[in-house]
Amino acid sequence: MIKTILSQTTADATSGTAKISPTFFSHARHTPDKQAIWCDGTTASYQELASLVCRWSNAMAQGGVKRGDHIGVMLPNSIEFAALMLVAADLGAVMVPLNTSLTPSAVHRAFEAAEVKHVVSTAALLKNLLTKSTTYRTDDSLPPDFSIADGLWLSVDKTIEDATLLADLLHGVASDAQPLNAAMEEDALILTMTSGSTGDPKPIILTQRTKFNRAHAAVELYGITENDRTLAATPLYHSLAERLVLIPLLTGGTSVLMQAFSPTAWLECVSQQNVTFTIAVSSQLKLTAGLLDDQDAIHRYDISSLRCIVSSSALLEHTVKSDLLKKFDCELHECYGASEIAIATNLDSIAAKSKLQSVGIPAPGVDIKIIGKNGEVVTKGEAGEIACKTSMLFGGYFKRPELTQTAMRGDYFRTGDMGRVDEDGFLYFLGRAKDIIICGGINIYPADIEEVVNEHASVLESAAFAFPDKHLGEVVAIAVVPVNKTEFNLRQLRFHCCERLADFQQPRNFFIVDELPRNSMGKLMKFQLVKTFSAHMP
Amino acid sequence: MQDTIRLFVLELLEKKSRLPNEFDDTSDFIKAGIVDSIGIIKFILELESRFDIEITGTDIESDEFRSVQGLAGLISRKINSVEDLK
Repeated sequence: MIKTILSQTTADATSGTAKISPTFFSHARHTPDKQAIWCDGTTASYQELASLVCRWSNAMAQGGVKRGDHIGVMLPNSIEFAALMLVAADLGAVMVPLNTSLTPSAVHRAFEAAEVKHVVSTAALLKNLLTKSTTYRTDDSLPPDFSIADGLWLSVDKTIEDATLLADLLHGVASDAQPLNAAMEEDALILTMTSGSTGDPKPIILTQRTKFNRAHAAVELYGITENDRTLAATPLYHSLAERLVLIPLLTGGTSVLMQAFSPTAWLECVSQQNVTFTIAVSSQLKLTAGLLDDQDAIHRYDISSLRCIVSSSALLEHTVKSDLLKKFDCELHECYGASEIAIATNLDSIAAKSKLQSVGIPAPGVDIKIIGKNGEVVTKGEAGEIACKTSMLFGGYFKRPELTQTAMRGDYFRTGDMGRVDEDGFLYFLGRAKDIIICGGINIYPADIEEVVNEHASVLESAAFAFPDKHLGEVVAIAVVPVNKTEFNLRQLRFHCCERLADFQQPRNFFIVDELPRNSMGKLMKFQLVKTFSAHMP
Repeated sequence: MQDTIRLFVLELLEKKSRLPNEFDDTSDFIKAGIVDSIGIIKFILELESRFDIEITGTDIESDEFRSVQGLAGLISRKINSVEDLK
């Protein structure tokens, strides 16, 4: 029933009436006592959450926050963070969520790039920014000056000098405050930094409509209803967790929010909170599946409530995919996408049986094209850059129109990823375009090498990257994380590669490492490998 | 044994490229581009794997490494030295 409310409202979105906060408040009116959100032991009903959002929104307006203002947000995953998304949606303000582990200098740069005026954070984090003696990056000559954010500075938990305490701000607002409903559908809601796998974070504009459409697309694709309890186990400063919190709050379901991920905590949370749906980062699923090798763990955690799991953010190796299909007795989807387009393709459990190495077919309302070197659309089976047309498209890069223009080909977003589509319309991800290794003029796709290397029993995971070669331009180098470093036999692995890979694909340089460099979303930062091992080579 | 090695090397070369009519056991397959810088790693690994030997950088630089006859001799010696050690 409530799924229908969202569907209808979204349908209206095309004619310009879809907004996030009215949809949430509508659920709050229909099911005031229902649990809206749980976060590590703290809960709020729809009525409680709606009341907090209304009061906070009114208080922020009284405190000088206007429609279109940018709010820097540095908060751990919490009910306050979820509420603040709805506050911004009601006010028409723009959230700029940032990684809480950034240095003050990095925060300053982000504030500058995103034109942050107001700040919401914890006392501890604010203190870190405001204390002049704080450590800062050695490449900066002066401590960062945060007077650029000259609006409201709000601490959500404790009193701190130079900031207003949230409780004090709320004190001045009536308990029956009403929503402001000040936003327009095309207003930016979130400026999100890309997760940084390219080494060049760019603020991405996500409008209210984009966020709404993304939630709606997930509802359609995964059959989400008001009965679902949706788990978010990634940081809320990333668009995935934001979507995972908005999905239940816009469908009348329940949001289950973890502050931090560990495989054990994830299994405990699923079991105790009766989680039914989640989109997880592939590396999280891989770790969790590893834990389920242990029979005791299988019996300890009842995860039978899970109806549907989606793997996202990075490609799942197909051996891991088969393992997950065996261990999770529920629908398992893998999606491919990017912060700019959300979900582009989806591979469900049924298709996974015959198309295990694919990332699926285009999600409803999405069209995929594979673009060749000269900008032409290539024929099926041929590799090229993946371009995507979708209603979930971002609103551009903030204040970088030339970058936005370069990223688009008509209505299609150029992902910068390489892929090919088979005769049945299934997409195969081949790696980042810039990660392609060109050996003697031949394109080598890192995914092809990694797949073979990862098959070897002695290898936990690996990452292939370009290594300079004076004769061939580039050759394949590979960083390998062995299962057991002391027993690892490189010669056997090389023979395995010899047997399974073509001559041009043979890795020339093997680097044995303890772990691969990943960002907080588990996304491999290949540029770090290049920087460490390849950049200083002749 | 040397004949087995010779046949295996010839098979490998034939897999990489159609051998010229005038190609014989003394022909330089590196110069002829049959094993080029792209294919050489796999070529070496195939030899190492098949005969359980290790081919060094010096071996690769040597003249012996350029012809079927030379390579068969080099591999044969390596196999024998491994046998002697046993």
